[in-house]
Amino acid sequence: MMAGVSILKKSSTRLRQRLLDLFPAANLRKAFKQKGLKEGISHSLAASTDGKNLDAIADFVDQNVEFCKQHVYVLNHDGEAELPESIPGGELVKADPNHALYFAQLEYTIVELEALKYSSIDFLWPIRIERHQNHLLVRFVVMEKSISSYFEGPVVIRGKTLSEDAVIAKILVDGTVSRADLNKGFKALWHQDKIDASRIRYKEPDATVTRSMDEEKGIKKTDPEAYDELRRYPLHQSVFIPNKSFAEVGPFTADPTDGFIGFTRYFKEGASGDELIRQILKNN
Amino acid sequence: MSLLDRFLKTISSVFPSMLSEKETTLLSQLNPQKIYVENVRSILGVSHAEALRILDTAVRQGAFKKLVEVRCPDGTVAASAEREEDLPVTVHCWHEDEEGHLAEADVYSQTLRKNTFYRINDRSERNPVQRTA
Repeated sequence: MMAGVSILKKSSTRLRQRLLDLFPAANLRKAFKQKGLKEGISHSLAASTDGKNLDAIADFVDQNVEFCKQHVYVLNHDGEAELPESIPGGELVKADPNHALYFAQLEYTIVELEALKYSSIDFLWPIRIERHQNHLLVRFVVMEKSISSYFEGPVVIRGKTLSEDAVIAKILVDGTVSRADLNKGFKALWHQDKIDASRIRYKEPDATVTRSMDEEKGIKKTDPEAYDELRRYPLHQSVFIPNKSFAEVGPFTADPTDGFIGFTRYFKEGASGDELIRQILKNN
Repeated sequence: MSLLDRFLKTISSVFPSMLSEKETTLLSQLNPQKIYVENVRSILGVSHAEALRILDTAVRQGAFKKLVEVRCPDGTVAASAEREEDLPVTVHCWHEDEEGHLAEADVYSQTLRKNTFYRINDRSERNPVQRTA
């Protein structure tokens, strides 16, 4: 596979800086051995188009995606799946036989509410695909929360040029890859009290039921009878609370039936949700 | 007297007619930590105003406490306190983004809807000094 940093070279300093700003400040300081505010570090790194610097930025992104706020899609494959050469609107930046990093060009259309005008803002969107024996993990860095910080007043997102669904659809198109159903893995961890849920959506035969616990209490701990009932059903968009085994993860979202896991907070240095994912897959 | 008995006695004392066996059973099945006006209204088959009067009387008699909870835009209760001013300044809420994924946000409590609920005042069991109307 042909990988390279040409998309970084073609991009503006501002675009490269926005890319680096997606990552925790502590990781930036450690990786580039710099001190000071995140904005200063990311700006100085983004300003140079020197090949070695761009390679270092790509390496940093590749090695730190798992520490970001991220959405992870788990896909099944038959052991023969190949990593895509490209994704919609994106270029391959790093690759080895078992993983690939892509940067997609992503533009948001937004409305600035105080000025009442349309604007746009673009980003390089890091997407990482990892190949495991029978699964592909597709990681998207979560972008939305960063956008308002680039404007003076409140903004509303009106549209964007690329969605996670579009990227996943492209990967699924050849028919040898499918979304993984993670109900078994999630329910096993729940049964073992490694996780509980503060909000659960599940599908009964004639209704989709959402149960949101007051003050983020755990359903199993607070209402074991409800837990016994709902664990028979397919689970959808839910919020899980890890116990102390995965305390560093914090509350996370998941749609087990669609093979989706969302980490909505930055991880502290050195921690990630990867062990949790491994446990879900091991029990699935 | 148990908390449950105290709860039923208070309601009986302010409810104009005798509680039926069914009403007593249903009232005893309520969660004494969280009782909404509608719980009592629907069991007793009275108006909202009448149920509110019954519960507020129970508060004045020291049997119940009146609390407030703040609700996220999706209806989930984020926090509760004895007084509105004791609620946290911001609370943690989840919402669905445009792709249907759950996302979290800190939201100012003062911008959110509040509910009143009642709780058995277990301190009134231990401490005979009660508030008066």
